Amino acid sequence: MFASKRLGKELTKIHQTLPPGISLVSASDFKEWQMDIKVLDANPLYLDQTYRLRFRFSTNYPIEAPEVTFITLSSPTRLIPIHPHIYSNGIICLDLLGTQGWSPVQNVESVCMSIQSMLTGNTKNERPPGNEEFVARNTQRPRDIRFVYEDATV
Amino acid sequence: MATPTSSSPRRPSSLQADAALQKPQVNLVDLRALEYVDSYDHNLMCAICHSPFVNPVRLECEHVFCQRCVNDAMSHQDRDSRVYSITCPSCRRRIENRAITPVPKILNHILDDLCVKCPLEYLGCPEVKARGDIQDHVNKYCAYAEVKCPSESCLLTVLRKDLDEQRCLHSVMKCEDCESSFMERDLEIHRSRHCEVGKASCPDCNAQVLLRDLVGHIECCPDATFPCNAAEYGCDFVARRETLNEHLKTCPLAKFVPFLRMQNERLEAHEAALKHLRHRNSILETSFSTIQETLSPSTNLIDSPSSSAAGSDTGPFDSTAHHLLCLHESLREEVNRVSAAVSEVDAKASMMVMNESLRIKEDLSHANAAIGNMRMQLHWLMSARLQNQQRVAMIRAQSSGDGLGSSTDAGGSNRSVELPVRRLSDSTRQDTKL
Repeated sequence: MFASKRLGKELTKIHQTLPPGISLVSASDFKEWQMDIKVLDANPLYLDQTYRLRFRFSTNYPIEAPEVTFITLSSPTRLIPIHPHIYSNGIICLDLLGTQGWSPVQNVESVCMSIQSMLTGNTKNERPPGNEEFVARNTQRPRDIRFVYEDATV
Repeated sequence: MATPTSSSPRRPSSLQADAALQKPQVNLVDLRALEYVDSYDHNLMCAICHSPFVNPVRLECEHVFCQRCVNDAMSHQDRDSRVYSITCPSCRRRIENRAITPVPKILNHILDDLCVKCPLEYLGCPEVKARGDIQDHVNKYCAYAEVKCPSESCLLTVLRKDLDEQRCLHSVMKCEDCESSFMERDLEIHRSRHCEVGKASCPDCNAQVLLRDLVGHIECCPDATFPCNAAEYGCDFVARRETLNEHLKTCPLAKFVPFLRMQNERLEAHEAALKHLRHRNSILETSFSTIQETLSPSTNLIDSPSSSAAGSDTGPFDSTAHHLLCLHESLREEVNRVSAAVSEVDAKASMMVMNESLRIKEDLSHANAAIGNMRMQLHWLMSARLQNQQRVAMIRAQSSGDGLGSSTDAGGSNRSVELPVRRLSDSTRQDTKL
C-alpha cells in the first residue's frame, strides 16, 4: 500500500544522484523499473559490458522483496552476465533477493550495488550447476523458487 | 511454505494497529502518506517507509522504525519463520517482541513539529500545518473535509466550506457546456478542472481556452501583461513579457529592487524589534508605577508637607527613576532634620531635669536643716519638762514622806523614777525615725 509512496521517494533520490556504474533506464510506473549496471574495474569477464536489470515491485514493497532479474535485449545489446549464481535465463540466486535475506531497509540502489559487487568479485567463467536443466524446466517466478544459499564467498 | 495468517498467532501490537484501522473515525489521517513541506533531517527518516517516523519504536539494537513498519515487517517474517521474534531490518539481529520500546518524547515532539501539507490538498486545501496538528485540522477546521449535509433528510456529505449555504447541495445539475450531470457540490470543480468543452477567453490575448487550462494559459500567455519588477517601488511600466525583459535591463528602479527589498526586510526586522522593546518598556513602566504606589503612602506618613511638595514636583521630572531618587533624597533630609530635632529636645529635657533636681535638692537640705532645728527645740523642751517633773516629784515626795508610811513612799518613788526612763527611750526612737 505504501509501495508507490516509497518508490516515489526512491525515484526522486535516484534522479538526484546514483553511484557510478548504475543508471536508471525507465521507471514509468511503480510496478516495473529497469536499471543498467556496469562493472567498473577491469574484470575481463565483464569488460565494456552493460547489463540490464529488471525490478518488479509487488504492492507490499518494501516489506516484500522486489523481483530482480537480468534481461536480454538486442538493441542496445544487453546480455546475461556469466556468473556461478546467475542462470542463463537471468534469474539471480542471491539471498538478498529471497524472502529470508530481504530486509525492508534495502532499496533499488542498494540492490544494484550488491549485484554490481557480486559481479566485481567473481572470477569463475561459469553458470550455476544444473543451469540447463533449471532453465529448461523452470516455470516459476523467481520469488517462488526456494534457493539454497550455500556459497558464502559472494 | 507460507502458512495462512489466520492460524498463525498474531502479536498484540499488530492487533492494536488493526484496531486503530477499524476505528469508526472516518477521517483518520494516515501520517505516513503526508507530504512534507520542508526538507527534514535524514536521521528522522524511517528506513522502511522512507518518511519521517510515525509513532516510532526502538528495537533492542537501538534501531528505530515506525510502529506500523515494524508491524508490517514482523507479520511478513512471521509467515515464514513462525517464531515470536523478528530480525532487525537494519542489522539482522534477533529481537524479542517485548524488547520493542518507545522512543524519548522529545523525538516525537520534533517529529510532530514537521510541517506537512493538508492531506486534502488535492481538493484544494492550501493549509500547511505542523504534523501534530494535522489530525485536528482535518477533523475540525479544514474547509475541504467532508461533513454531513446540512439538510436533515439528506444522508450525503458536503465539504465544510459549503456548509454556510445551509441547503442541500446534492440535487443533480447539468454542466452548461458538456451536458453531463453532476451534483451541485461537484459542478464547480468539474467546470474549473475537468470539463473538456467549457471555454473561456484569455483576458490578455482573447484566445479561447478550455476553462480548466485557463490558469496555466495565463501563466505562459505571450500577450499577458505584467508590471515592472519595481512596481511596488514606483515604476509604472506595464508591458508584455518580451518588452518587459527589455525594460528590466534599463529600468533604474528595477536594479534597485534587490537592495530595496533587503532594506525593507531590515526595516521590518527593526520594527519587530522595536515593537518588542516597546512592549517590554510598557511592562517595566507599569511595574514602576506599582512600586511608586506602594511607596507613596509611607512618605505621607513621615512628613506630609514634604511629600506634598514632592507630589507637586512630579511633573517636571522626566523619568520615574529620577523622581524616585528625588523622593529618596528628600526623605533622607527629613530623617536628618527629625533626628536633629529629637536630639535638641533630648538635651533640653535633660537640662530641665537637672535644674529641677538641683532645686529640689536645695529645698530638701533646707527642710532637713529645719527639721534638725525643730528636733533640737523638741529636745530642749522635753528635757525642760523632765526636769520640771522630777522637781515636782521630789517636792511631792518630800511632802508625802512627812504624812504617809515609808512603804508607799518607796513604791511611789519607784514609779516616778521609771517614767522618765521610758520617755527617754521613746524620744530616742523618734529621733531615729526622723
